[in-house]
Parts: sequence; C-alpha cells; structure tokens
Amino acid sequence: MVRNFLVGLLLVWKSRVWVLASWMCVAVVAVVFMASEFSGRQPATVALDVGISVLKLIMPVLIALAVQEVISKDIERRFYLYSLSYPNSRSQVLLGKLASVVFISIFLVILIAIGISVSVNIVALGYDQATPVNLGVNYWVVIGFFIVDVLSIVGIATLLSTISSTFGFLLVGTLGYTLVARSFSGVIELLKGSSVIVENPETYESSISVLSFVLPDLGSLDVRTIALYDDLSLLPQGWELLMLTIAFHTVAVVCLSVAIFSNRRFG
Amino acid sequence: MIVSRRNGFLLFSVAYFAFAIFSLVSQRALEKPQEYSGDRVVVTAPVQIALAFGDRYFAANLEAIRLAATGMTVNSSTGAIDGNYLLRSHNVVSKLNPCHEDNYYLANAILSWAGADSEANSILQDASRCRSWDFLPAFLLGFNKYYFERNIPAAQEALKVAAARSPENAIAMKRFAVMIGTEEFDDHALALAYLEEQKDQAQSESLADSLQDRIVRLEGLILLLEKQEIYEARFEAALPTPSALVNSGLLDALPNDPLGIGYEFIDGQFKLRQIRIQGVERPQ
Repeated sequence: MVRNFLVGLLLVWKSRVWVLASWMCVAVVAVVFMASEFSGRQPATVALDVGISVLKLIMPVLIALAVQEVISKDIERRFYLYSLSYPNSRSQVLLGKLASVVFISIFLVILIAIGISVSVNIVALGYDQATPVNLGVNYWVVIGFFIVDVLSIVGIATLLSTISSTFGFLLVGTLGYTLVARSFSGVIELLKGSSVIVENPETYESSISVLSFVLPDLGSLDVRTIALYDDLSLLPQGWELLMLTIAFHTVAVVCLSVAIFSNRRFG
Repeated sequence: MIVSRRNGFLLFSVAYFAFAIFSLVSQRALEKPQEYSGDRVVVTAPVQIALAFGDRYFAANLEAIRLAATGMTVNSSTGAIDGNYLLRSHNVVSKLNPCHEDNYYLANAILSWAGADSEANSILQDASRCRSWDFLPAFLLGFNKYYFERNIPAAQEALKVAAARSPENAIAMKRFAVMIGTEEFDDHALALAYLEEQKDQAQSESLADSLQDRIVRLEGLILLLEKQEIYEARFEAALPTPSALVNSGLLDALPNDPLGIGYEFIDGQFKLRQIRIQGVERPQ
C-alpha cells in the first residue's frame, strides 16, 4: 500500500497537473486582489469570499486530473499488468493510490489557502473595516470543512475512474456531482415559500429533497461566514451530524469503488 | 491536392483572415439600431446558485460586483431612474447572502433616497437579522422608518436594537429614539447632515456623485418648506398650490430634482415623491 501511495505521488509529479496547479495558485491570488477593488466598505471580506469561492471552483478540476493521472491512465496504458501483479492485492493498489490523491488534494488546498490568507492580509492593510475578517482559527475551520468536501469529491472521482477510464466521463461526472451536491440545499432553501419561480414550491421542494438520500449536502459545509464576519456563532447547528453523514457517504463510495475495481475484468 | 502538409497552416491563416474580415463587415451590415429598453436581466437567486457552481456566496459577490460596476442610470425616454433593475438585483444579493455589507449599504444609499425606501428597508431588515453584531443596518432601518414612513414605534424598536449592539453610540441612539417620539427637531436638516457625512465617507466617486444628487434633492425639499413657511406667514393663509410660491415671487422657479422623481404636494405638505415599482415583492 505504501508503495502504491508513493507510485501515485510520483505519477502526479511526472504529469502536468503540477504546472496547472501552480498557475491556478497564481490565478487565485490575482482574483483575490481584483475582487477587493469592487468593494467599497469591505474589501478584505469580498477578497476572502471570492478567494474561497475560486478555491472551491478549481479543486474538483484538479481532483479529476489527479485521479485521471493516478488511476485511469494506469488502466489506459495497460500498466495494470504490472501494478496488479503478485503480491499486490487489488484493494491495496486502489487504496494506496486513493491515499496519494487525498494527500495531494489536501496539500493543494492548504497551499492555496495560505496564498489566499497572505493576499487577504495585504488587502486588509489598505482599509480599516468595521467588521474585520478572521484569518486565524475561524479561517482554518472553514478550510477544514472544505477538506471534507474535497474528500467526498475524491471518493466520487475514484468511483467513476473504476467504472470507466475515459477522461471525459470522469471530468463531467465529478463536476456534475459537485454542482448538484453543493447547490441542492441552497436551492431548496430559496424555493421555500416562493411561488414566483415554480408553480407549487412545496411539491417541488419535496421532490428535490429526495436527493438528500442519494447525495450528501455539500452546500451546508460552506461555513465561510464564520471567517468573513469573525463570528463563530454563525456555524450551522448540527454540523457534527452533517460531518458524520458525509463521512459515511464517502466511506460507502470508497468501499463500492474497491468492490467494483476488485471484480473488474481487464481485457 | 491543393492543400498539403506543407502549405496547410498558411492556407488556414489566409482562409481564417478572410473569414474574420467578412464576419466583421457582415456584422456591421446586419447591425440594427439598438433601442434602450430600460431594463436589465436579473437572474433569480436559485438559478444563480447553480450558475455559480453551487456557491451562493460567489453568486452574491458576482451580483454585487455587477451592481457596483453598473450603478444607476437614468432612462432617457422617461427621465426616471432605472430603479427596477437595481431593486431586483439588490433583492437577489440579499437572498443569496443577507450579511453582504456592500449590498445593504448601497441599497440604503441608492434606493431609499430615490423613493424606494420600503424596498431598501426590507433589505436592511434582513441585513440587521443576519449581521447580529452590526449596529449600522439597524440604525439605518430605524432612521428610514422614522424619516420616510413616520413609523415612530418601528423606528424606536430598530434604534433600540442598534443601541444594544453599539455600546459607544448607545446613549446617542437612545436619545435619538426619545427625540423622534416628541417630534421636536428639524429632521430634514438632520437628514441633510447625515447624507453629507455619508458622501464624505464614500470610497468611490460614483457613489459620492449619486449621493450628491440626493443631497440636491433634499435641499430642494428644504427650500420648498422654508418658502412655504414664509408664504403662510406673509399671507396668513395656507399655501394652495406649489405654483403660488412662484406666482408670489418667493421663488424664481420650483427646484429641480436631479433624480427626475420630483416632489409632491399632498394636503398642504411638501414631500419627497416615492416611485412605484411593479413586480417587486414587498414583505408583509
């Protein structure tokens, strides 16, 4: 398993994901500075807000690329003849590689988060806000919650990569999952009692709510207000339960992908 | 073959260049004179969440950035401000992220002084609820409730909330709440001073300019009220119509509102005219 973990790291290192990731880091910092220019009264808050948003936007893409490099290409290039040879069990191979993707994703999140934090600090020097941002404990709690979101996406990407080795399927599936899982709770909340957009909001709401049996609620994991407005009381009630839900979903997805990978016929 | 491996890129460049030129020319030829319809698109909040990849805060920021970048335009055909778009846009930001500071601040500065104070108040109310530490939205709400609606109990309620959130301003705000109960001070002069202070604090030039328009509008009202008082003292009778001020020589002309909304004269009282905007949900 350790060997597969190291192989995974090596594969990402040899691929061009690094180049893309470093450009993304530069882009996030640039976007942070540009966004702050549009705010009259809270430049640092808007800078941090947009920085976290862009981080959330690019991570699914980077995850899909990393999973593609580490897992899918192995099958595509017929390396599995080598990597699945004795004494490696299939679950060891998949879990080792999954661990390397998790490691890389968390490393990237922390790297970009440090970049955002430094640039927001610079922005905050320019204007003394009435409500300052909290870049200490609160900010890292937000990043911690986001890492849970990232782990869930890594799980889904792994599952998709064991089903098919085409990159298009993996990318579209990962992004689609992210989009639906992140937005459905917010959409349900905004549709409540609003008959302007849909004719009958109650039935519509109950049908969307069925999604919560299929997908975890990644939208509620976004607790950035505690850092934006420096107020820990904005943490949602019952976040521990939410974390448990997502953890179980991720574990289930990983178990399913190990099961599929173990039974897969390569030909 | 005409196209070969060697000249492929060259021919591609020539053909593409021709395409670009013809495209430009034909687009010019097909262009129709644009008519300003006076309304911009504002996508509803749930759809914006999906468009922002499930990120409501990002959607709120994008909409707020659009608001900051477009600002307020005067529709040349009607001479009135394009308030409909601004209102819907501010409401969408308020739904996506009620805590957004720029949103409530701009909504108050732009909308409430352009006659849409009840819509601005609903945004302030949401902001005050979300920003449970911030006295400013509650204070602005209290001020608007008093100044525009003359709803003294609601104003005092909001000021009480504001006073509880700001220990350093608590005494001043409590005094203000008591004073509006007795109605014994010149609230228009107070409002003017407040607007001027806002203008001095404004970061961007466009906000300062639009606040300047509101100052001129309010100065017009104060002028009308002053002249009405002089008229009524001189002729010992109530002012029948605004034009009587001009006819009696007290005014050269009625003051001009730079926002194009104007004033109204109801039951012998000059007031700032409100604009009615259709299609906006008012919280009951």
